[in-house]
Amino acid sequence: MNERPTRSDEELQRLLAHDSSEPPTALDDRIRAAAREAVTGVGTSARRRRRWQIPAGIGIAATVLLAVLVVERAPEPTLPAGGQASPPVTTSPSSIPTPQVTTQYRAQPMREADAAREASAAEALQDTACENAATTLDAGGLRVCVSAGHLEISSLSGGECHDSLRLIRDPGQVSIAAAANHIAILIDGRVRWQIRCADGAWQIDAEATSHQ
Amino acid sequence: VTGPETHIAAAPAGSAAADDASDDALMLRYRCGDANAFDALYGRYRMPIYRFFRRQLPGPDADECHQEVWLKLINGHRQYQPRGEFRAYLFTIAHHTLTDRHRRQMKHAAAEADADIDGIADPHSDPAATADGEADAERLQRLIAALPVAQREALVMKEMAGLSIAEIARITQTSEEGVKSRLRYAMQKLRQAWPPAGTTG
Repeated sequence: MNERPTRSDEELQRLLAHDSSEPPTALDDRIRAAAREAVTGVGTSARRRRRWQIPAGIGIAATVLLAVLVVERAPEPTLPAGGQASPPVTTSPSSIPTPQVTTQYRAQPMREADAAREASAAEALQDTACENAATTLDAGGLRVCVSAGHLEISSLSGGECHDSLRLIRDPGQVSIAAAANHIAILIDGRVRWQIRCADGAWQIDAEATSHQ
Repeated sequence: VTGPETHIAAAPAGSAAADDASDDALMLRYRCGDANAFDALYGRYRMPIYRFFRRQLPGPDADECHQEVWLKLINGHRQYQPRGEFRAYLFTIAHHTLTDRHRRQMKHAAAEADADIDGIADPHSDPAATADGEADAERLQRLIAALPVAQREALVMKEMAGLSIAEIARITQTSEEGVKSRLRYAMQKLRQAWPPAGTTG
Protein backbone atom coordinates (compact mmCIF):
# COMPACT_ATOMS: atom_id res chain seq x y z
CA MET A 1 0.00 0.00 0.00
CA ASN A 2 1.29 3.38 -0.96
CA GLU A 3 1.11 5.59 2.17
CA ARG A 4 1.72 9.25 1.64
CA PRO A 5 2.24 11.92 4.26
CA THR A 6 -0.88 13.98 4.80
CA ARG A 7 -1.54 17.50 5.88
CA SER A 8 -2.53 18.11 9.44
CA ASP A 9 -6.06 19.19 10.31
CA GLU A 10 -4.68 22.49 11.53
CA GLU A 11 -3.00 23.18 8.23
CA LEU A 12 -6.11 22.26 6.29
CA GLN A 13 -8.29 24.39 8.53
CA ARG A 14 -5.95 27.32 8.04
CA LEU A 15 -6.12 26.92 4.29
CA LEU A 16 -9.86 26.48 4.37
CA ALA A 17 -10.38 29.60 6.43
CA HIS A 18 -8.32 31.66 4.02
CA ASP A 19 -10.72 33.12 1.50
CA SER A 20 -10.54 36.59 0.08
CA SER A 21 -13.55 36.45 -2.23
CA GLU A 22 -16.16 39.14 -1.81
CA PRO A 23 -19.49 39.80 -3.45
CA PRO A 24 -19.28 42.25 -6.36
CA THR A 25 -20.02 45.85 -5.45
CA ALA A 26 -22.93 45.98 -7.85
CA LEU A 27 -24.47 42.99 -6.12
CA ASP A 28 -24.03 44.65 -2.74
CA ASP A 29 -25.69 47.77 -4.05
CA ARG A 30 -28.65 45.85 -5.47
CA ILE A 31 -29.26 44.04 -2.20
CA ARG A 32 -28.97 47.17 -0.10
CA ALA A 33 -31.32 49.01 -2.45
CA ALA A 34 -33.85 46.19 -2.24
CA ALA A 35 -33.64 46.26 1.54
CA ARG A 36 -34.16 49.99 1.62
CA GLU A 37 -37.05 49.80 -0.80
CA ALA A 38 -38.74 47.12 1.26
CA VAL A 39 -39.08 49.39 4.26
CA THR A 40 -39.30 52.82 2.69
CA GLY A 41 -41.36 52.23 -0.41
CA VAL A 42 -40.83 53.74 -3.81
CA GLY A 43 -42.00 57.09 -5.09
CA THR A 44 -43.32 58.19 -1.74
CA SER A 45 -42.64 61.42 0.02
CA ALA A 46 -40.30 61.51 2.97
CA ARG A 47 -43.24 62.01 5.26
CA ARG A 48 -44.71 58.72 4.16
CA ARG A 49 -41.52 56.75 4.14
CA ARG A 50 -42.10 55.31 7.50
CA ARG A 51 -42.78 51.78 8.53
CA TRP A 52 -46.47 51.04 8.75
CA GLN A 53 -47.28 50.87 12.38
CA ILE A 54 -50.24 51.54 14.53
CA PRO A 55 -50.17 50.98 18.24
CA ALA A 56 -52.17 47.92 19.10
CA GLY A 57 -54.20 49.89 21.59
CA ILE A 58 -55.23 52.39 18.96
CA GLY A 59 -55.98 49.60 16.55
CA ILE A 60 -58.19 47.80 19.03
CA ALA A 61 -59.91 51.01 20.05
CA ALA A 62 -60.50 51.92 16.44
CA THR A 63 -61.93 48.48 15.75
CA VAL A 64 -64.27 48.74 18.72
CA LEU A 65 -65.37 52.17 17.57
CA LEU A 66 -65.97 50.85 14.11
CA ALA A 67 -68.02 47.98 15.48
CA VAL A 68 -70.18 50.45 17.41
CA LEU A 69 -70.66 52.56 14.34
CA VAL A 70 -71.62 49.56 12.28
CA VAL A 71 -74.21 48.43 14.81
CA GLU A 72 -75.73 51.86 14.77
CA ARG A 73 -75.74 52.04 11.01
CA ALA A 74 -76.94 48.54 10.37
CA PRO A 75 -80.65 49.26 9.76
CA GLU A 76 -79.96 51.99 7.30
CA PRO A 77 -79.87 51.45 3.56
CA THR A 78 -76.43 51.26 2.11
CA LEU A 79 -77.14 51.38 -1.56
CA PRO A 80 -77.58 54.64 -3.43
CA ALA A 81 -80.66 55.52 -5.37
CA GLY A 82 -81.19 53.97 -8.77
CA GLY A 83 -79.56 55.44 -11.80
CA GLN A 84 -76.14 55.55 -10.29
CA ALA A 85 -73.37 53.17 -10.99
CA SER A 86 -73.50 49.94 -9.08
CA PRO A 87 -71.57 50.01 -5.83
CA PRO A 88 -68.54 47.80 -5.60
CA VAL A 89 -69.22 44.29 -4.45
CA THR A 90 -67.12 43.13 -1.58
CA THR A 91 -66.49 39.44 -1.37
CA SER A 92 -65.13 37.50 1.52
CA PRO A 93 -61.87 35.95 0.37
CA SER A 94 -61.48 32.35 1.34
CA SER A 95 -57.93 32.88 2.51
CA ILE A 96 -58.80 35.31 5.26
CA PRO A 97 -61.28 35.35 8.10
CA THR A 98 -64.72 36.54 7.20
CA PRO A 99 -64.78 40.26 7.86
CA GLN A 100 -67.28 41.51 10.37
CA VAL A 101 -68.14 44.60 8.42
CA THR A 102 -67.71 46.03 5.00
CA THR A 103 -67.13 49.66 4.22
CA GLN A 104 -67.59 50.79 0.68
CA TYR A 105 -66.92 53.93 -1.23
CA ARG A 106 -70.34 55.40 -1.00
CA ALA A 107 -71.42 58.33 1.08
CA GLN A 108 -73.79 56.92 3.66
CA PRO A 109 -76.18 58.74 5.95
CA MET A 110 -74.58 59.44 9.30
CA ARG A 111 -76.25 59.74 12.60
CA GLU A 112 -75.45 62.63 14.86
CA ALA A 113 -73.33 60.51 17.14
CA ASP A 114 -71.29 59.38 14.18
CA ALA A 115 -70.95 62.91 12.93
CA ALA A 116 -69.78 64.08 16.33
CA ARG A 117 -67.14 61.39 16.48
CA GLU A 118 -65.99 62.18 13.03
CA ALA A 119 -65.89 65.88 13.77
CA SER A 120 -63.77 65.36 16.84
CA ALA A 121 -61.08 63.83 14.66
CA ALA A 122 -61.37 66.44 11.94
CA GLU A 123 -58.27 68.27 12.99
CA ALA A 124 -56.18 65.15 12.92
CA LEU A 125 -57.61 64.23 9.58
CA GLN A 126 -56.32 67.42 8.07
CA ASP A 127 -52.84 66.00 8.29
CA THR A 128 -53.77 62.64 6.91
CA ALA A 129 -56.05 63.88 4.15
CA CYS A 130 -54.87 62.60 0.81
CA GLU A 131 -54.19 65.15 -1.83
CA ASN A 132 -55.88 64.61 -5.19
CA ALA A 133 -57.48 61.39 -4.02
CA ALA A 134 -60.18 60.05 -6.31
CA THR A 135 -61.55 57.83 -3.59
CA THR A 136 -61.42 58.08 0.17
CA LEU A 137 -62.49 55.25 2.42
CA ASP A 138 -62.55 55.05 6.20
CA ALA A 139 -62.60 51.78 8.07
CA GLY A 140 -61.16 50.22 11.16
CA GLY A 141 -59.60 53.46 12.28
CA LEU A 142 -57.90 53.80 8.96
CA ARG A 143 -58.27 56.18 6.06
CA VAL A 144 -57.51 54.80 2.65
CA CYS A 145 -57.07 57.23 -0.21
CA VAL A 146 -57.03 55.89 -3.72
CA SER A 147 -55.82 57.75 -6.76
CA ALA A 148 -54.66 56.65 -10.16
CA GLY A 149 -51.07 56.35 -9.11
CA HIS A 150 -51.14 54.97 -5.65
CA LEU A 151 -53.04 54.05 -2.56
CA GLU A 152 -52.34 55.73 0.75
CA ILE A 153 -53.29 54.46 4.16
CA SER A 154 -53.37 56.69 7.19
CA SER A 155 -54.47 56.38 10.76
CA LEU A 156 -57.58 58.33 11.65
CA SER A 157 -56.00 58.96 15.02
CA GLY A 158 -53.69 61.41 13.34
CA GLY A 159 -50.53 59.71 14.44
CA GLU A 160 -47.53 59.01 12.28
CA CYS A 161 -49.06 55.91 10.88
CA HIS A 162 -49.28 56.00 7.19
CA ASP A 163 -48.01 54.08 4.26
CA SER A 164 -48.40 54.14 0.55
CA LEU A 165 -48.83 51.39 -1.97
CA ARG A 166 -47.93 51.92 -5.56
CA LEU A 167 -50.57 50.95 -8.07
CA ILE A 168 -49.46 49.85 -11.48
CA ARG A 169 -52.82 50.09 -13.09
CA ASP A 170 -56.07 51.89 -12.50
CA PRO A 171 -57.37 50.80 -9.13
CA GLY A 172 -60.93 50.23 -10.33
CA GLN A 173 -63.63 49.67 -7.73
CA VAL A 174 -62.14 49.79 -4.28
CA SER A 175 -63.74 48.50 -1.13
CA ILE A 176 -62.59 47.57 2.34
CA ALA A 177 -63.47 44.66 4.54
CA ALA A 178 -62.58 45.13 8.18
CA ALA A 179 -62.38 42.62 11.01
CA ALA A 180 -61.01 42.77 14.55
CA ASN A 181 -57.38 42.60 13.61
CA HIS A 182 -57.53 42.44 9.89
CA ILE A 183 -58.38 44.78 7.07
CA ALA A 184 -58.61 43.66 3.50
CA ILE A 185 -58.55 46.12 0.61
CA LEU A 186 -60.37 44.81 -2.40
CA ILE A 187 -60.07 45.97 -5.96
CA ASP A 188 -62.94 44.93 -8.20
CA GLY A 189 -64.05 42.47 -5.58
CA ARG A 190 -60.70 40.76 -5.22
CA VAL A 191 -58.40 41.07 -2.25
CA ARG A 192 -55.31 43.01 -3.21
CA TRP A 193 -53.84 43.98 0.12
CA GLN A 194 -54.28 42.69 3.58
CA ILE A 195 -53.39 44.68 6.65
CA ARG A 196 -53.09 42.64 9.79
CA CYS A 197 -52.39 43.26 13.39
CA ALA A 198 -49.45 41.10 14.37
CA ASP A 199 -46.98 41.43 17.18
CA GLY A 200 -48.61 44.57 18.30
CA ALA A 201 -48.24 46.42 15.03
CA TRP A 202 -50.31 46.75 11.91
CA GLN A 203 -48.60 45.29 8.93
CA ILE A 204 -49.33 45.40 5.27
CA ASP A 205 -49.13 41.97 3.75
CA ALA A 206 -45.83 42.06 1.88
CA GLU A 207 -46.80 39.21 -0.39
CA ALA A 208 -49.94 40.95 -1.49
CA THR A 209 -48.18 44.18 -2.26
CA SER A 210 -45.92 42.48 -4.72
CA HIS A 211 -48.79 41.28 -6.87
CA GLN A 212 -50.60 44.35 -7.88
CA VAL B 1 -46.99 50.83 20.67
CA THR B 2 -46.81 47.45 22.24
CA GLY B 3 -44.79 45.56 19.64
CA PRO B 4 -41.24 44.64 20.55
CA GLU B 5 -39.85 46.59 17.66
CA THR B 6 -41.16 49.81 19.06
CA HIS B 7 -38.58 49.74 21.79
CA ILE B 8 -35.73 49.72 19.34
CA ALA B 9 -34.51 53.15 18.45
CA ALA B 10 -33.16 53.87 15.02
CA ALA B 11 -29.43 54.39 14.70
CA PRO B 12 -27.33 55.36 11.71
CA ALA B 13 -25.40 52.61 9.99
CA GLY B 14 -21.80 52.44 10.96
CA SER B 15 -22.44 54.15 14.24
CA ALA B 16 -21.23 52.65 17.47
CA ALA B 17 -24.80 51.67 18.27
CA ALA B 18 -25.14 49.77 15.01
CA ASP B 19 -21.76 48.14 15.46
CA ASP B 20 -22.51 46.97 18.96
CA ALA B 21 -26.11 45.96 18.42
CA SER B 22 -26.98 42.30 18.38
CA ASP B 23 -28.17 40.70 15.17
CA ASP B 24 -31.66 40.46 16.60
CA ALA B 25 -31.69 44.11 17.58
CA LEU B 26 -30.66 45.08 14.07
CA MET B 27 -33.35 42.89 12.55
CA LEU B 28 -35.97 44.42 14.81
CA ARG B 29 -34.81 47.88 13.88
CA TYR B 30 -35.03 46.89 10.26
CA ARG B 31 -38.54 45.62 10.85
CA CYS B 32 -39.21 49.04 12.31
CA GLY B 33 -38.18 50.68 9.07
CA ASP B 34 -34.55 51.44 9.81
CA ALA B 35 -32.78 50.53 6.58
CA ASN B 36 -29.44 51.43 8.10
CA ALA B 37 -29.84 48.53 10.48
CA PHE B 38 -30.01 46.22 7.50
CA ASP B 39 -26.84 47.74 6.12
CA ALA B 40 -25.06 46.94 9.36
CA LEU B 41 -26.41 43.41 9.34
CA TYR B 42 -25.47 42.94 5.72
CA GLY B 43 -21.97 44.18 6.47
CA ARG B 44 -21.61 41.47 9.07
CA TYR B 45 -22.73 38.55 6.98
CA ARG B 46 -22.18 39.46 3.36
CA MET B 47 -18.84 37.71 3.15
CA PRO B 48 -19.70 34.55 5.11
CA ILE B 49 -22.81 34.02 3.00
CA TYR B 50 -21.05 34.83 -0.24
CA ARG B 51 -18.15 32.54 0.51
CA PHE B 52 -20.54 29.80 1.56
CA PHE B 53 -21.84 29.78 -2.00
CA ARG B 54 -18.58 30.68 -3.66
CA ARG B 55 -16.96 27.57 -2.26
CA GLN B 56 -19.70 25.37 -3.60
CA LEU B 57 -20.93 26.91 -6.81
CA PRO B 58 -19.49 28.55 -9.91
CA GLY B 59 -19.21 32.34 -9.77
CA PRO B 60 -22.48 33.38 -11.45
CA ASP B 61 -24.45 30.78 -9.50
CA ALA B 62 -22.85 31.96 -6.27
CA ASP B 63 -23.83 35.54 -7.04
CA GLU B 64 -27.40 34.54 -7.77
CA CYS B 65 -27.72 32.44 -4.64
CA HIS B 66 -26.17 35.15 -2.51
CA GLN B 67 -28.71 37.63 -3.79
CA GLU B 68 -31.51 35.13 -3.36
CA VAL B 69 -30.71 34.60 0.30
CA TRP B 70 -30.75 38.28 1.09
CA LEU B 71 -33.91 38.91 -0.87
CA LYS B 72 -35.60 36.10 1.03
CA LEU B 73 -34.50 37.72 4.26
CA ILE B 74 -35.74 41.11 3.10
CA ASN B 75 -39.09 39.78 1.93
CA GLY B 76 -39.60 37.81 5.11
CA HIS B 77 -38.20 40.30 7.59
CA ARG B 78 -41.59 40.95 9.11
CA GLN B 79 -41.93 37.30 10.04
CA TYR B 80 -38.55 37.13 11.75
CA GLN B 81 -38.81 36.19 15.39
CA PRO B 82 -35.85 37.25 17.54
CA ARG B 83 -34.50 34.23 19.35
CA GLY B 84 -30.83 35.00 19.32
CA GLU B 85 -30.27 32.69 16.38
CA PHE B 86 -30.03 35.07 13.48
CA ARG B 87 -26.87 33.51 12.07
CA ALA B 88 -28.43 30.06 12.06
CA TYR B 89 -31.60 31.55 10.58
CA LEU B 90 -29.64 33.18 7.78
CA PHE B 91 -27.64 30.06 7.02
CA THR B 92 -30.81 28.01 7.04
CA ILE B 93 -32.04 30.20 4.22
CA ALA B 94 -28.68 29.71 2.51
CA HIS B 95 -28.89 25.95 3.01
CA HIS B 96 -32.33 25.78 1.43
CA THR B 97 -31.23 28.02 -1.41
CA LEU B 98 -28.25 25.80 -2.07
CA THR B 99 -30.37 22.67 -1.89
CA ASP B 100 -32.82 24.09 -4.40
CA ARG B 101 -29.95 25.04 -6.68
CA HIS B 102 -28.50 21.54 -6.49
CA ARG B 103 -31.87 20.04 -7.29
CA ARG B 104 -32.13 22.15 -10.38
CA GLN B 105 -28.59 21.29 -11.38
CA MET B 106 -29.20 17.61 -10.81
CA LYS B 107 -31.92 17.64 -13.40
CA HIS B 108 -29.36 18.71 -15.96
CA ALA B 109 -26.30 16.90 -14.75
CA ALA B 110 -27.21 14.21 -12.27
CA ALA B 111 -23.81 12.80 -11.69
CA GLU B 112 -21.92 16.04 -11.36
CA ALA B 113 -23.32 17.29 -8.07
CA ASP B 114 -22.40 14.18 -6.13
CA ALA B 115 -19.22 13.35 -7.93
CA ASP B 116 -16.77 11.45 -5.84
CA ILE B 117 -13.42 12.94 -5.11
CA ASP B 118 -11.57 9.81 -6.17
CA GLY B 119 -11.30 10.94 -9.74
CA ILE B 120 -9.06 13.85 -8.84
CA ALA B 121 -7.69 12.60 -5.59
CA ASP B 122 -4.29 11.63 -6.83
CA PRO B 123 -2.13 14.66 -7.56
CA HIS B 124 -0.23 12.55 -10.07
CA SER B 125 -3.33 12.49 -12.19
CA ASP B 126 -2.98 16.24 -12.64
CA PRO B 127 0.70 16.76 -13.38
CA ALA B 128 0.14 20.03 -15.20
CA ALA B 129 -1.36 21.61 -12.15
CA THR B 130 1.53 20.49 -10.00
CA ALA B 131 4.12 21.55 -12.51
CA ASP B 132 2.59 24.96 -12.86
CA GLY B 133 2.55 25.38 -9.17
CA GLU B 134 -1.21 25.71 -9.00
CA ALA B 135 -2.17 28.10 -6.26
CA ASP B 136 -3.27 26.45 -3.06
CA ALA B 137 -6.53 28.33 -3.08
CA GLU B 138 -7.46 27.16 -6.56
CA ARG B 139 -6.54 23.60 -5.84
CA LEU B 140 -8.44 23.64 -2.59
CA GLN B 141 -11.43 25.06 -4.39
CA ARG B 142 -11.39 22.20 -6.86
CA LEU B 143 -11.06 19.60 -4.15
CA ILE B 144 -13.88 21.08 -2.11
CA ALA B 145 -16.07 21.25 -5.18
CA ALA B 146 -15.51 17.55 -5.74
CA LEU B 147 -16.67 16.55 -2.27
CA PRO B 148 -20.13 15.07 -1.87
CA VAL B 149 -22.67 17.83 -1.32
CA ALA B 150 -23.48 17.10 2.31
CA GLN B 151 -19.83 16.82 3.31
CA ARG B 152 -18.92 19.91 1.38
CA GLU B 153 -21.67 21.98 2.94
CA ALA B 154 -20.81 20.89 6.45
CA LEU B 155 -17.15 21.62 5.84
CA VAL B 156 -17.83 25.09 4.48
CA MET B 157 -20.18 25.93 7.33
CA LYS B 158 -17.73 24.75 9.95
CA GLU B 159 -14.36 25.83 8.63
CA MET B 160 -15.25 28.89 6.62
CA ALA B 161 -18.37 30.33 8.20
CA GLY B 162 -17.40 29.33 11.71
CA LEU B 163 -20.71 27.71 12.61
CA SER B 164 -20.82 25.29 15.50
CA ILE B 165 -21.62 21.60 15.12
CA ALA B 166 -24.94 22.21 16.83
CA GLU B 167 -25.80 25.05 14.47
CA ILE B 168 -24.91 22.99 11.43
CA ALA B 169 -26.98 20.11 12.72
CA ARG B 170 -29.96 22.37 13.21
CA ILE B 171 -29.58 24.07 9.85
CA THR B 172 -29.17 20.85 7.88
CA GLN B 173 -31.63 18.94 10.06
CA THR B 174 -29.06 16.32 10.84
CA SER B 175 -27.83 14.89 14.12
CA GLU B 176 -24.68 16.33 15.60
CA GLU B 177 -23.05 12.93 15.17
CA GLY B 178 -24.01 12.99 11.54
CA VAL B 179 -22.40 16.39 11.09
CA LYS B 180 -19.24 15.22 12.82
CA SER B 181 -19.14 12.22 10.57
CA ARG B 182 -19.50 14.34 7.45
CA LEU B 183 -16.74 16.65 8.62
CA ARG B 184 -14.48 13.72 9.41
CA TYR B 185 -14.95 12.20 5.99
CA ALA B 186 -14.50 15.53 4.25
CA MET B 187 -11.25 16.29 6.04
CA GLN B 188 -10.03 12.78 5.41
CA LYS B 189 -10.66 13.10 1.69
CA LEU B 190 -8.97 16.47 1.54
CA ARG B 191 -5.94 15.13 3.36
CA GLN B 192 -5.69 12.16 1.03
CA ALA B 193 -6.21 14.21 -2.10
CA TRP B 194 -3.88 16.97 -1.14
CA PRO B 195 -0.62 15.87 0.40
CA PRO B 196 1.86 18.44 1.62
CA ALA B 197 4.11 20.13 -0.93
CA GLY B 198 7.21 18.14 -1.83
CA THR B 199 5.58 14.80 -1.22
CA THR B 200 3.79 14.40 -4.49
CA GLY B 201 6.65 13.33 -6.71
